[in-house]
Amino acid sequence: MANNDKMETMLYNAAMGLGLAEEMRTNPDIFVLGQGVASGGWFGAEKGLADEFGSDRVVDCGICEAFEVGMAAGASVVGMTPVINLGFADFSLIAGDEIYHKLGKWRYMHGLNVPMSAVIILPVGVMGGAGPEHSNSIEVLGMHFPGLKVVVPSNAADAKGLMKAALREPNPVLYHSIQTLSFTRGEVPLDSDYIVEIGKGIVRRPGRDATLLTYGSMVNRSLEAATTLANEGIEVEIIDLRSLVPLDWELILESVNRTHRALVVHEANKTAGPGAEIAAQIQERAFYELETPILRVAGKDVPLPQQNDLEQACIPSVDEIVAAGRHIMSL
Amino acid sequence: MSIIRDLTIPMMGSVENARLLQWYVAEGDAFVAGDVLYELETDKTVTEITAEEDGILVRRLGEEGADFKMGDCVGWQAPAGSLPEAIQQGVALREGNGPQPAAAAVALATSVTALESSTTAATTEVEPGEMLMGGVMAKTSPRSRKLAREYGIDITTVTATGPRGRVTGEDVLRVAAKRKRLPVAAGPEANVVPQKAPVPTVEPGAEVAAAGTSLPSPAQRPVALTNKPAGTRVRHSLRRKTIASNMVCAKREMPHLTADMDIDLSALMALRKRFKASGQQPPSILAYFACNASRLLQEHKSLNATFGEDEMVLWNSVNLNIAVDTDEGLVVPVIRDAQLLTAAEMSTRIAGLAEAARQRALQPEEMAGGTFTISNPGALGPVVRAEAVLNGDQVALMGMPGIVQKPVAVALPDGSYAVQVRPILRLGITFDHRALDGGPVIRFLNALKFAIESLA
Repeated sequence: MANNDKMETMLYNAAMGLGLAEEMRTNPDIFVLGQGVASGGWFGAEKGLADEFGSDRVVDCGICEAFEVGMAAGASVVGMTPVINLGFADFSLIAGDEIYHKLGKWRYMHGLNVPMSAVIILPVGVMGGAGPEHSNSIEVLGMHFPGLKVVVPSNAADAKGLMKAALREPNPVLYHSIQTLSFTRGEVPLDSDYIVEIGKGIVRRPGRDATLLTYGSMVNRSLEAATTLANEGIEVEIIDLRSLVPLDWELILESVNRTHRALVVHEANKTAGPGAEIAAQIQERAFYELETPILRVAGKDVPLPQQNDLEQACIPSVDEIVAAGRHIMSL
Repeated sequence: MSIIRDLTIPMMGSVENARLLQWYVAEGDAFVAGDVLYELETDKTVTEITAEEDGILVRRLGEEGADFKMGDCVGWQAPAGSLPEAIQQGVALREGNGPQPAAAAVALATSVTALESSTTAATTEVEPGEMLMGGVMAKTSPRSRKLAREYGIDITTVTATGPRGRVTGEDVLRVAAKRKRLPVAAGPEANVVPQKAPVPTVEPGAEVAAAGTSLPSPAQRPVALTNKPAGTRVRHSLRRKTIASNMVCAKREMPHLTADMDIDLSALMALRKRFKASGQQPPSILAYFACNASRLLQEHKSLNATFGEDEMVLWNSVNLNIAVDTDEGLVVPVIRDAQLLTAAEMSTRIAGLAEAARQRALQPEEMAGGTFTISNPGALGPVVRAEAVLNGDQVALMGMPGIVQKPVAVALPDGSYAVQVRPILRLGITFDHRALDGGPVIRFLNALKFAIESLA
């Protein structure tokens, strides 16, 4: 590839769109459907797609989530690769049956010995006062229902790499972009084969004292907290999970077996959130490596407020993560 | 997420109001469960309020002389062992001076209280780790227990350096390195050490062998041989190791002491003589004591109990341990529902279990679940006192020393006294002073004395 090593600074959502465009160029079966996608998408992820690929492959539709995903399920069965952007993950509940029963189960239920490729873009998280019905982090649902893969990119490069991996994946993928990161910039490889493998996490910061497992919106806050903790002599290893289904157990256990302490940090609600499952599995798999209980720092179990400061109070702050780091070392 | 918790005035029955008279703990000072925190005056009494658990007094909120309702918050406390930074952080959060988002969180948390109580989606915020670390497990960790097992190290002998006095995995590894231990097999079978080991003789002044694997193991520390006379190494049996670790645990964890009472066995001896005269084998002296003690424990339940961190469990029936001396050491088989047995039945059961113990034929379940123990060193020789170490998680143990013919002042019908020689057994109750005060113990001894001396 000519531009193998080239990097470009771009927006997170633009990187997601770049991954989509690159794959659309080589795979004519990919098409995009969603509200406003023909004019660039609500948050700019699909900018320029309609111009390049035409309105046959970049299709606007009305507010009809159940239909959109139902159609995606049918299209994927007949060999196409639909990409549906629901704008807010919250709206996926309207299409719950189609996502969790149809997309997730049909390969199994109907003995379909064919791929069922589909990418459902489900942006998650607060975005500055969008309110209780437009701000949730419900990625745990994809972990709960079998048959789906779940990815959560925490930066622009991963936004591209995971999108490309999702489009090449023979199973349906729930692609949770992060609302707060939509318009943040990052270095993105221009290599058109740049892939972030689904199911592989990455160590963002090595550390000896405790393993902090996080993803998505909380990666940067965790890194910031780790810097503060390091000044106090506490070296926390930060793992960006990147995929929630499947989880990278090789990476998680290698780290926990080394540090003997684990914390999970996420924006999603604490109760029955991803951290509950991850913590439970860590103790099932590595109980006798643990020096302390596994801690969770997570969103409060309340409807998210529409006021900016209150909204921030409902999700983990850097200070809360720092406090948890100190706490786990005091147990 | 603050680690700071309210210190509230405990509820005391129907008392509603109280005046805080005096603080006994300074701000910043650590206290342990049972320490007097402050003095409280109520309409009924002046009482000292003690700490229910270990902690640190972060702030006195209640002023001396001020009046409160029961349940009011009079101070802030932090969990024992909290780092100063963590406390500062917690205080900042509680004061609302913390980092902005966190402060707003408190405000929000307050504002959504009504919501939380009305929806199942909201849950009580539990301080991470707190529930787990409050219990006895706090003294070790899953990892340190596993490592101790793998290296064949008795974890109760490892010096703890972890927070809250916890033995960490690193502590175990440090001991293992010092003793040059290699991991035995992984898993619980690591504890199984061959019973028949070679018995090397030891030359006087010989150095301790360097390699851990060639040492007779596992002693708590290698026996120093320098300047000692010649000797024989006897490797510990599993039974000896179990006894040792149980004893260390009991002595370390339970403050216990022994109360004695002389019991006149004249009536008992006379009763046994009557059995013999009629050609019957009488129940053993031990059986009479076991039978009467078990029956009385049904009324004196606090001696037939287990003392836990937060509660005491009074057992409904008596699972009676009888200490049996064997060639390989002490074993304590259990007689279940001992309160239902007659002296004759008890005698037969004890004899059977003692024989099984000496034959090493006891099943594990025949030694588990005891609630009270009788030790009978008097059967081996005329010891004058039967002080003992408590058995397992029990709160009391009855020791029976030898029977001694003693001159006793005996009350005569006319009110005067005469010195007579009587068979006396100085019965001892060793008890866990955390669980029991002297009162119930003496009352039990009195009742048993009366029962034995009234046998007919």
